[in-house]
This record gives sequence, C-alpha cells and structure tokens, in this order.
Amino acid sequence: MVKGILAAAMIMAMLGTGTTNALAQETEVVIGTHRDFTGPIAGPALRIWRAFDWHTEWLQKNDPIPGVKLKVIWEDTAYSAERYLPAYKRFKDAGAVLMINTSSTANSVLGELHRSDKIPCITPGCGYIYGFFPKDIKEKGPSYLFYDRPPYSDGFAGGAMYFLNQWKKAGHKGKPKAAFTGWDSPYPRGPIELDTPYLTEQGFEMLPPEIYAVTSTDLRSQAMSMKRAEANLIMSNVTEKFFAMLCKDAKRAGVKYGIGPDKTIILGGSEAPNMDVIKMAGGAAEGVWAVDSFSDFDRDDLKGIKLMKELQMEHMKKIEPHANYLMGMQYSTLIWGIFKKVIEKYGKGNITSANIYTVLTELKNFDMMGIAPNFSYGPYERRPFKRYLVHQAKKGKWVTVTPNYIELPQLLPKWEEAGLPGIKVQ
Amino acid sequence: MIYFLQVVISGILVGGVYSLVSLPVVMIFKSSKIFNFAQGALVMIGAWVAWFFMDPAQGLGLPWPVGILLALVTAVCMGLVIERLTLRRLIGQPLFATMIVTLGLGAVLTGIVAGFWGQINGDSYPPFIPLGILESGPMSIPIDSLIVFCVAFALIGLFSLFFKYHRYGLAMRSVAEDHQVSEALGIRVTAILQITWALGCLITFLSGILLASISSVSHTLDSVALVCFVVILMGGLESIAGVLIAGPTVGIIEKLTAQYLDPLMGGGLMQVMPFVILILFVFIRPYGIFGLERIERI
Repeated sequence: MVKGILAAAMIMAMLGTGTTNALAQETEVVIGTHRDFTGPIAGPALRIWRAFDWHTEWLQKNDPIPGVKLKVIWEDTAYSAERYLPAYKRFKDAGAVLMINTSSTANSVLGELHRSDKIPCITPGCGYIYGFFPKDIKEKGPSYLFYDRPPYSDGFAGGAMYFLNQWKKAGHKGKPKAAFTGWDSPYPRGPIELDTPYLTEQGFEMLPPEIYAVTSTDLRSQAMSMKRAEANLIMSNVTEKFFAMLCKDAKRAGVKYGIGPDKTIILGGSEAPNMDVIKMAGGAAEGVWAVDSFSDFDRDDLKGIKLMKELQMEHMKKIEPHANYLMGMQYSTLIWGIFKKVIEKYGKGNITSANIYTVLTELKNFDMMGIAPNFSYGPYERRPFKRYLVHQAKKGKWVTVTPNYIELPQLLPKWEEAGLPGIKVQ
Repeated sequence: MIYFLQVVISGILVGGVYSLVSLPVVMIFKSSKIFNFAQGALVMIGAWVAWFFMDPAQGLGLPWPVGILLALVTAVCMGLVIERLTLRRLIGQPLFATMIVTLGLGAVLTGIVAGFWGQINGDSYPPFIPLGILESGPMSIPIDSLIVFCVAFALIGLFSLFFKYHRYGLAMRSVAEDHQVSEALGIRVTAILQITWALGCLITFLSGILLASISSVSHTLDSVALVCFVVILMGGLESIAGVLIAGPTVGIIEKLTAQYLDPLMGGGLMQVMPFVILILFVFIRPYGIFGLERIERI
C-alpha cells in the first residue's frame, strides 16, 4: 500500500511538473488599445474594433502562434485628450508591450510618452504631424508611432496633384484655386501646414483655410465663402458627418461639381469614401472625390476582403462594405505578423517593446492580404507605404477612378531635429 | 452688397431653427420655472426616433408622413413621462436642484441614443424636403432651409397666439405666475404642467426633425442647444417674442462672423461670437430683449 501511494505521488508530481512546464512555456503578451467608443468617432471605432476582435479571434484559432497568448486590454477613451493619458498609464502598468490608438489627438498627448517609455504604438492618427516629425525635443531620435497610412498631408497632396493633372489634360489654363476646410483639431488641420507651400509651388493658388468648430450644425458660411473665392478644389479631412454636411451645403451654395474654371471638386480623406456619406448627403455627394488606401469591398479576388466578408457574415449575418472594418483588420494582421517575426528573430518569451520596435523598423513588404498596400517601415520611416487610391461617388456608390495606386509625394517639414535623412520632395 | 445680403439671409434662415429649438425651453420655464438643460438631447432623440420610423434599411421603413406623425406621438408620450416621473417632484424646489435633474436627464437621453443607435454613424431622412435652390440673379436661397424657416416661424406664430388667446395657453401663463392662485381659480396645475411638457417635447422633436432634414441625423445634433441658450438669454427667459427676434439675430451674428472675421483670425470665431455678444448684451439688458424684470419687495 505504501508503495502504491508513493507511486501515485510520483506520477502526480510528474504530471504537475509537466503541466507547470507547459504553462510556463505560454507567454502572455499584453497590448493596450485606446478605443473611442463614445465621442465623435464612435461609429468608426465600433467598426474598427469589431473587425480587430473578430480577426484576432480567427487568427488565434486558425493561425495560432505556439506558446503565445494574446491579451488585449482596452478603455473607452472617447476621443478625449483627458482620457488618453490615464488609459496609457494603466496599460503601461499592466505590462503592455504595444499599444494601438485611432486618433491624432491621442498622438498629440501620448506621442512623446511613447518615445520616452519606448513603447511602440500603431496608429492612423497622422493629423498630428509632430508624431511623424518630432520637434523641439530634448532627446533626439525617431518616433515610436508607426502609422497605418501616409500623413494626411501626403495623401491630400497626391489627390491634389491628380486633380492638377486632370485640369491640365482638360486644357484649362491658369492656376486652379484650392482651399482646405475642417474643424479645429489636429486631424482636419493636419494637411494644411505642409500642403499649403507644396501645392503653391506645384501650381495652385491656395486660398485661406475655412476652419470651424466641431459643434457646427451647418457649413453654409464656409461653402459660400469658398464659392465666392471661386475655389476649384476644396479639400476636407473630416469624418463622414461633416463631409456629408459640406457636400450638402456646397450644393445649397450653388457649387457645381467638375473640373473647370467655374466648377469645383470636393476632395475628402480616408473617412469619406463610404456609404454613410452617400446616405447622409444623398445627391449632393454625386461626383465628389476621396483619397484613401483601402481596396474596394467588391474585390473578392483579394484574400483580405474575402476573409472580412466571411467574418461579417459570421458575426453580423450581413455584409457592411465599410473601410473601417479593413482598418481594424490591418491592425490584427500587422501585430500577428510582428509577433511571429519577433519570435523568429529573438525566440519565444521575448516579445518585448524593444524587440517589437526593432522588428517594425526592419519590416519590408509585409503582406496586408490586399486590403491595403504592403507595409514597409524603416529606422526613421513611419509611413507604411507611399501610395493611395482616388475614389469618386458615382450613382450612389464609391468607385476607384485611378486604375492603380497613385504615388504620393513625401512632404517634409522644414525642421529636421529628429535627424531624419533629407528626402527631396517629389 | 449682394453677397452681404446673401450672408444675412443665410443667418436668418438658420436662426429660424434656433428659435424653434429655443421655444419649448421658454414655454417650460414660463409655466414651471424649470430651465430645461436636456433640450439638446431631446432635439437629438427626436431626430433619431423619426429616423427609426422612416428608414427602410435599419428602421421600420414607414412613409414619411406616418413616420413623422408617430415620432410626434412618441414626443407627447415622452413629455408626459418626463413630467410625471422626474419634474413634478421639482416644483417649488431650489433652482439648482432642477438644473441638476435636467442635466442628468440630458445625459440619460444621450445614453439612450448611443445605446440604440450608437453603432450608426449618421444617416439622412428620405428626401421629403427638396434640396434645390431658388435663384434670383446673383442671390440663391436653399429651398430646404426656406421651408424649415417658414415652418419654424409658423409654429412660433401659432404658439404666440395660443398663449395669448387659447384657454390652455392662458392657463399656462397663470400657472407660471402662481400655482396657488391658479388652483384657486380652478386650474389644475399638474394637468397644465403635463400639457406644457407634452407640447414642449412635441415642438422639440419637430425641431430635431427639421434640423436633421437640413443637416443629417447624427450624434452631435445636441450641440445646437449651446446656441439656443444664447438665443433664450438674449431674447428673455419668458418671452416667446424674444425668441422670435433673438434666433435670427444670433444666426446673422454667426454668419457675418464666419464670413468677415474668421478669415482674419484663422477660424473658429463663428461659434464664440454669439456668446461674446451675449455677455455684452447682459450688461445692458440682463433680462433679455423682452424679458420681464422681476422686482422683489422685501
């Protein structure tokens, strides 16, 4: 009997050791996500994070990383500067090795913290250009913010140059007039500082920007002012509601869409080319343009689009052709790929902020499954790619008017305090 | 000069909506001395309820006259519920208490909208108001804004007459002066307060529908209340005529600022200027254009 008890005890000890070993081999990787579920970008946030969570769950089932358990922690930061900082601190205390936010305002609050704490962050918030090009900083060095798109200034410059080419092709003489409009925060203001001198150099006459408060209920004054100034190109980096409002008020002001001396093209940014704008603006959206990096939802030939549609059917029982879902999927695709590369280079158990940062800066042609161009970063380069698509609203749908991606200029500010290599503006 | 006139007309048209949104606040204050800080949230919920009845994809898809009618019926019910459950108990209570309750009510209503429709970025109504413009030489007036302005002013005119001549309107004015005297005259104060809130919510929902029809159904419609508080204080807390004058005045101030001052200052002054004017105005006429000066005898 004693021998039996001893044998049982030995077997249990061996099993326990084995279990402990197995548990010890699984590394928990914490990432912190700032989710703006309330506030002005509540709609986009819901879509982005749904897609992120669905795809992350899919990856853990269908493409698991052995020994890695992903723990995603989040807070509702309400697109509010006061909430980003405490959330950041809590994520840091929880051991987050990487963070994700979806806000230029977040970057204006947290950009330097990410740098000083050396925690990389993935973000679309490139309205805050100092995240790209740090200025007036004591400790020089590149940013820890890795963007999922080029700066809005590059995007709008590319869209404006496409317009200028079409203007010249149509045989119009003279300088077309262009203006920016948007509410008073980094996101809409983002393109203005770098684009204004660049586009002036390229042959536009730049009109004063029309800035308004985010509480505005109509943009009639701004539309009337730009019509009076005979703007041929109106650029606006705003969310769907304001872009739709701009389209409607432009129509009310008597603006005629088209390319020509007495006509205007309204050009939106990445939040514009979706069905919400067409629903809200109705006929007033017919003919407007928008620039972004995401493929159209009818591209079933693309792996990423096909997968997102499957995930939508599984979770929502319907297809919602909105680029915000592709945005969320970008983050999950990227982080999963990065974790695999970190393990490949540094081994299991070494998914740390420092290693993630190094792998990100070495990333070349990372496959985004066709939902966006492949991602490549560099020691100082934080743009993942330098190309965009131009979309136009036609007959109640957004269609891509550029046959392929258009190459974007890479605009640099005058200061180079971060020691960025000088790149000649294209 | 033509352009200046165009700007002024634009301000008058948008001011019509401000007047309509401000009217229920004045009505409720006149009859119960409660300043309704939930007005913005009620405007927003009115727009979304009407959208729910009318939208074919994510709502009930009813024809727009039926949808709007049902939204107004919902408004009346909501007004009765709000009065009965929350505000009746505040009669005679300190002003601060009523402010806090209506602020809380606004937060609850905003949360209800977010809870039901937070995942929808925004939408528009079926086009029951045409989007065209009326052109006369160099002047152009948006048809939808003109229609909304006419409806707003017709309603305001109607309610002015209601308060002056209809027995319920007179009863509301009596209740506003003194509850005890009104009871003594045979007026059921609680019933009148219910009618006030029901009517107030009905007008508020209608103003939300009209506002959303010219902008869009969105989660930031409540921000119109910020401007309306300026309209109310400028016009006088208890004056419907004041609201009629102050609404377009504030609209004109906004539009002129946007056209002529914002380009000089880099933008953003349009929303601030009405408040600046209000502060200056309050120094000269603290009770508003047509507000009543209260003299307390000690």
